[in-house]
Amino acid sequence: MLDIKNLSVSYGKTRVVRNLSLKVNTGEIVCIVGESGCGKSTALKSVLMLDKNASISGGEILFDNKDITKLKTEEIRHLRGSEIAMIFQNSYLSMNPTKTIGHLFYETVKVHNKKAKKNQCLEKAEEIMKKLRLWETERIFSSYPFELSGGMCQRIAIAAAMMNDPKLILADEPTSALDVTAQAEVIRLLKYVKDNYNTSMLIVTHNMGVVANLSDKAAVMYGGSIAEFGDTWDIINNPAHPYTKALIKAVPEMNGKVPEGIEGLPPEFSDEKGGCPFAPRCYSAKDICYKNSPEKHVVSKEHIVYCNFC
Amino acid sequence: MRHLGTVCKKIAISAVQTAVILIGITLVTFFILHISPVNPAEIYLMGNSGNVGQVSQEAIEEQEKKMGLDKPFIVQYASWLNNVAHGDLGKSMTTSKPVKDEIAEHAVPTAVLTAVSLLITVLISVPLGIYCAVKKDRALDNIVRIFSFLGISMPSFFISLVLLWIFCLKLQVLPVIAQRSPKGMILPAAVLIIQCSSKYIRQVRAVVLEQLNQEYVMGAAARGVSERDILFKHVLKNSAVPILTWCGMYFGIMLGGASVIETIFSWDGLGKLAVESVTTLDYYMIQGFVLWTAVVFLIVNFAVDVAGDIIDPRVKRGRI
Repeated sequence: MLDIKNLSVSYGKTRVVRNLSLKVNTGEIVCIVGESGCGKSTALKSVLMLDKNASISGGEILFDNKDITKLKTEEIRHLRGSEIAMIFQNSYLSMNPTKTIGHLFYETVKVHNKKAKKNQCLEKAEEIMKKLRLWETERIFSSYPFELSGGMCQRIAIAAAMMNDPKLILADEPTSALDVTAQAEVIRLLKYVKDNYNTSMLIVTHNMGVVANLSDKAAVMYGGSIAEFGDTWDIINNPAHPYTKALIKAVPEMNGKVPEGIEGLPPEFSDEKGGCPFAPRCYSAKDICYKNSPEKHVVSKEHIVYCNFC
Repeated sequence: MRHLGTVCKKIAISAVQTAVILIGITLVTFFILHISPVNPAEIYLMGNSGNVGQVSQEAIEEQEKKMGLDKPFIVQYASWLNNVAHGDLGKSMTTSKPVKDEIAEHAVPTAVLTAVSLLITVLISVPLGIYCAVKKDRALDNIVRIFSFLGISMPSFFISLVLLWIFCLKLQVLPVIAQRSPKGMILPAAVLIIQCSSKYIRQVRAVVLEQLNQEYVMGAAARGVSERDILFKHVLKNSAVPILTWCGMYFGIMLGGASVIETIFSWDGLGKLAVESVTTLDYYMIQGFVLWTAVVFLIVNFAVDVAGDIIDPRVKRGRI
């Protein structure tokens, strides 16, 4: 359904996403995980061409076999919010503070279907919200975003994303700004949506818990490219890439132990050298890692890793 | 009902604030005039007799008593305030006409000048400011930026003199002395428009640009809202309150009378009246003028506040 091939995205002359390839099948949740600044959000936004400062400098994004990078502005607009919906990290901020939630639901439908009637839209919204266990719909419809909590806004954003029955939902750190109980609720809702509507999802997160709980497949991203991609449990139980291993070790557990971090900092994007981007922080890096780009290795079916020594 | 309650409460608070501000402003002006070395009684007598320096000390003292200037400062102020409360702003010392009538008379030309200048300023600045924000750093934005800087950096008397020189002396298409005629209004209005638009365009641009960078803009785009709708239905609605506030500011400034511009072009408005009152130290006239300016600003501020309440739900719901 979504097939990203060799995608490169640049801000000016700086390539932030480098030859990224990723596939999302129908009814599948794929998580992109990685440290802050590894290009995962940029990659996600480029699927809907949302970042005006970023430009696609190579590759293609195939959605239902159409290349999104070659679509006209109006065609992309028709995809946004209808076939591909997006959920942001701070839904509270991604909603206009001077418009009511009811208006948000109405507008989301109206921009794709001029004939839409407000009361019909709100009826549909109510139906979705009830399924997502959001009660008090009347009060919510007449509220402004700043009158609701962050967790509530995030759940509303999921409901709003479902208004046009999208085939794919993109979510940019959907749980990062929330407290743990709200996080759990958002994870539950996303899972519910996937199970009941067969919606595909591409979720960006830096939270391994979200990956483990939610996704069918996981893509570990480092320095703008994929380091490892495969079945989620396969990756968590048998990580192949040194970065994935380090990332899993860095997850805090509830046992009083201080988790190990990864020494060094993520790479700067301005200096694009050859070789493996993780090499300077990798404990098993050899000379060759600094010279040659990492090769693709197939660990098992649907589990691939980009590393010279795996 | 909740809405009505908050608005009523707001109006009550504003009324109290208004009273305090008015008393504060007039008290300060009164005090400044009081400590100025010039004796209003002397000025009054000189103005009446026209004999400069030939007023006897006795006559001055007698006049001081008449005008109540021998009483303590606070008593003088209180009696002035009492008169004002009864609608009496005193009499002009130079023309002997009631201050109220003088202000009313001069307010008309200023109001006409204000109405025309403000309307054109808004018609130029708001669309241009929005355009420059949307097409940031493009050709037109850069051109407008240069003209704005020029307009902001040049003092109004300089712009006035340049325009006078070009249109009255070189081209001779406009009269040097502006009578109360549409033709005579062109130049003073032009200077006001140049001055205010230069600032207003930049302010509108900044406000719209700030809104365009908010996250809800990308949020709306991600839901499929077109750029046009994002601008007109979301961004401009949220920019309306600050844009309106600035507009109110210019309205107040203009209605207070543009002293320099009105003096240069002999436009017989409040600004010119104010300059004349100060040069002749027309005590009550100055007081009346200060009071007028303060009242105009307070009314404009209040009107803008109420308009903001209606537009912005955050105010309506008592969040701000």
